Amino acid sequence: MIADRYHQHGLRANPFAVPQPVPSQPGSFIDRGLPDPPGASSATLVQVIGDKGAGKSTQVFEWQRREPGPYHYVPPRPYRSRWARPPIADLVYADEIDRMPVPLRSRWFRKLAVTGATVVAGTHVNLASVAHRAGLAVVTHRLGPASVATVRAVLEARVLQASIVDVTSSFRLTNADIVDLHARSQGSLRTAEVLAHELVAQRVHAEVMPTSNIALKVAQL
Amino acid sequence: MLSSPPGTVLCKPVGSPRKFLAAFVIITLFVWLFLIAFFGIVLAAIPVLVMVALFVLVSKNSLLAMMRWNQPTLEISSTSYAIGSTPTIVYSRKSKRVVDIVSCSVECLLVCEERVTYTQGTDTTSVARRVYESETVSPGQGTAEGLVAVIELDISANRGSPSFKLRNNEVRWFLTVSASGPLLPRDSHTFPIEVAPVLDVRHRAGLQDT
Amino acid sequence: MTVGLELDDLVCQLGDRFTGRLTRHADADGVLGDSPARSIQLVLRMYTEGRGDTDRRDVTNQNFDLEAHGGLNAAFSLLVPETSPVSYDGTLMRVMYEIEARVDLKFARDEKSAHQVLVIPVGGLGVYDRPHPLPLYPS
Repeated sequence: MIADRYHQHGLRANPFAVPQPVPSQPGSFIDRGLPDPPGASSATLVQVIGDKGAGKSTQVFEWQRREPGPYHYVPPRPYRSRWARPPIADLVYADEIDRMPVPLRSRWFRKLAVTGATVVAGTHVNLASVAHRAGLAVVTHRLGPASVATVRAVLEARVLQASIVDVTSSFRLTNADIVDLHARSQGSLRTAEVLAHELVAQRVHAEVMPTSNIALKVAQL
Repeated sequence: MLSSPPGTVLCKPVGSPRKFLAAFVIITLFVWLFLIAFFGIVLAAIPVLVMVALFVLVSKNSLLAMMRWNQPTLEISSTSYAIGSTPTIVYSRKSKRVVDIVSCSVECLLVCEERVTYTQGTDTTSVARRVYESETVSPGQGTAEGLVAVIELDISANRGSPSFKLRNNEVRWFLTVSASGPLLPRDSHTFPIEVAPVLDVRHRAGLQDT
Repeated sequence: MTVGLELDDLVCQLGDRFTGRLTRHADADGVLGDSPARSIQLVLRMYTEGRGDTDRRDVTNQNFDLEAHGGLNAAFSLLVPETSPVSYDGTLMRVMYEIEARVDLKFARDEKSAHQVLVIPVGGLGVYDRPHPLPLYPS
């Protein structure tokens, strides 16, 4: 019998392992309180502005999951791939559009304005003036550092998803853990998840669980 | 030509200060030539002098060491080290001029580091964490050519993994070594080592008490 | 019909072999030669979990052609190369192994059966019951 450190703590795996595939899965999204974007064909740019790891992409993916539409991502490299033609539709989702070359973005915004499209986009910089010039209305949401409550909700949801059902002695993050992770991550959800991954790994290594019915239940899964 | 006893190899540190210096000189020359085209020789020299001053300030220790000492070498096993083993290695550094070293110590930090690369949201990020560190301070001895120290390593069987490298996941081991004492340079050097997926005999079944 | 994968041991050190028996019952009464099952591929797979993106590699594999009726009862032996990483529970990553038997079915989704296994360092037999590293306080 192979002993699994995580199973012994009532977990299938480390809750903070990078999910595969990456985009948000139903149930894993934590509402940050942003109002839903206007529907299709509103001639509006809904921009979500925030630093790396603030949760822009997760928010955009969640809106796309609820109201499907074509999605466009501007990769950092190779540079020529930033010139990939973005889609035109009544409702379009995009991410990292601040990387898009200026002439391409201006032309794209003008086309979206002409067709009256709604574009929901994640960006690091405010693109309101460019969108206004193209004839789009602009709705701006800023995702700042996550609060302790948001970090708690995200981390506890991940632990719950990784927990083995019916095992009473399952892993828990304490209040002190969460406050510490929030402080060390400075409100970045991504950093908080990396730190939480290490915390869980260290804890399952450090604590030796007595042989109990937990292992037996796991073996039957 | 480097030579070492049978079963060992002489290992040089990663990152040569000479190459670093050469790269700096080339970049500075390019910047200077670029600035000359706009501002003339005299005005263009000002930012270049600032760059040189900053470089000297930051790399003072390495530059002084480079002038007076050769790069250190580490005499390590020609085969990879086993998990849980406590091998000894020999650190030596030759001086470019006669130096009388009365006493010195050599600090050696053995590190096992995990490094991962992941894509989340739309960014690719690398994260590295030291999962094991073991520091030893060994007495160094002055020789006719410089200094020598014998260092005992403690390669943990309870922390870290044998070295491996996959596309997105890697475990690597390395040593950071520095010497301290009168007349000694205050720089440090990093030497990569390989830890093999072999359990040292002391940890094997039935041998723990021997 | 499911494929049966019996391992002699779930633990194997680098350079050794996972051995066992691979079985599959014949389709229908075992007489008709019209089984949709054509072959079984047995794979020793290494994969990672953790903060890094997954690395996945088929370390060794072995192919078994099935009888016309789809049945099989054969011994297998999968070599674990000495160059592979060992099973590992780290801080940012885990390295895990599984042996998967996949039945190649004509015009249908392949049947699969998989077992988690442990690949340990050379000399680790009788010492490891979980991925490396060794626990500080053995239970």
